[in-house]
Amino acid sequence: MLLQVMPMKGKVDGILAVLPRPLQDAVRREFNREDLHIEELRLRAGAPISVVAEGREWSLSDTGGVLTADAELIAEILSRACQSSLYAVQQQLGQGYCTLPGGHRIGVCGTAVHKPDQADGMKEFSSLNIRVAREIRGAGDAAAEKLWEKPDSMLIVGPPGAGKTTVLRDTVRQLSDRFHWRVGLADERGELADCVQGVPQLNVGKRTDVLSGWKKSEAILMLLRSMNPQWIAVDEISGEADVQAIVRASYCGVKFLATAHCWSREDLTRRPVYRRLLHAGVFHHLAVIELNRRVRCEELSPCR
Amino acid sequence: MQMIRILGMVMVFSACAGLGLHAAGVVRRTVRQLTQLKLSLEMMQCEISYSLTPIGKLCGILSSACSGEIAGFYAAMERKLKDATRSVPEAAKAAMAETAGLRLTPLARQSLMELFGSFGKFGSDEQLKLIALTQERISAELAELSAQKQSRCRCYEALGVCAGLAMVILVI
Repeated sequence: MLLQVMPMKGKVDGILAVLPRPLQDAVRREFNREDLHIEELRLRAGAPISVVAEGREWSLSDTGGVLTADAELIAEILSRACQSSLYAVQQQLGQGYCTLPGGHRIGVCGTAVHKPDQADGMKEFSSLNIRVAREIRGAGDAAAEKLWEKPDSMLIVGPPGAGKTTVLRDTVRQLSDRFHWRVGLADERGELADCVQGVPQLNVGKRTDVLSGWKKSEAILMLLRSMNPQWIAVDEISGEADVQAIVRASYCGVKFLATAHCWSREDLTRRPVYRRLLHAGVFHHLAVIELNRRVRCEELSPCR
Repeated sequence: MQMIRILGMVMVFSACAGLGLHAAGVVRRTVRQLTQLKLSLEMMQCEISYSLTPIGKLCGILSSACSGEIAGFYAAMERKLKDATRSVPEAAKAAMAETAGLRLTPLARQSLMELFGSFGKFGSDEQLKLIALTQERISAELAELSAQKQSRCRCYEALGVCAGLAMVILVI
């Protein structure tokens, strides 16, 4: 089944709010463009500020010429992003990101601060990558239809920036609202549901329970123990611990909806972590998001 | 004529005694506010160590939990911080200037401004250490002021009354 994922204007107020005035105006102009959907805003100390859309990256400019970022601007944006409280995002920063209201994510580069018996921190920030969260109704249609036909665990794969999180979020919404299944959502980075005071800011369905900020491997087992879900959804399976938790939980009869950084079925089988997952036979469906943003669903047989 | 003289003497006496009572009242208010401030710093530590609450929301919580001028100070700070262009030290300075009736000692003000001057620039452990340091300084100030409170209040009140009486005698 094929589906064209249509770009839509996201809620970008959360991004604009952390930008200083001149930059805010220039970025707003880009967001207001009807011909394309901005995916990323990139700032590198000492380099022109750029925007990314549809695979292209170009410099941002205003009447005074090309806008350039410096370390001070990057620090100011980050300070606004964490509401002048670096300690509040210390753990996220240790993993190289922090999340903005609206589910947008800021990827951060800087110098590591290693401390014994404590989470690693970061200082001297050098680059920011502000990724715009997209909530696209219908992005998960193809996957949801397949799951309604045959309700079995599904792995969504696609290259970086293809829209895996967007497809996952909309599929979760449809499983929950359309098919009335109970879904447990492990939202480690707060990108899927963007819970504020416990209320999801992005639509993940009425029958979805969200665990925010927990490591995926821990969240999967917690959801299983405490919420009795029929489905568990996780974004970006990447480590051995995630795979172990998924395999363990799958023995209890819960079905999974997950995403992985892979280009195709062949790419999936080449990577040791995912190969183990395929060997375990947890996933029966594979949804591949292609470069043209089409979602192709196929059956997944266990690896031999 | 005699009546006007008596009335004048009463007014002079009342003014002087009033000044003394006011000075004693300021001391009592300062002690009360320092106690509130110390409690708010304790609460700040709990909030940060358990919930890692960011400063804006933290000020909202503290304004609800405290009372009087200290609650007013945190409420003003929360309002100022809603403007994303304002830094924490700027917000603290503006809130301090805006809060009427804030009677903190110069050292307590300085400690508070130093705390907010570097607020949110470090990890939670360092942040908690800074709050603990401020709390220590405020506690020392409070202990010193509390120890002198009785004698200072009595002294100001007595001075006011005595000054009033002296003025009356001089006028007579």
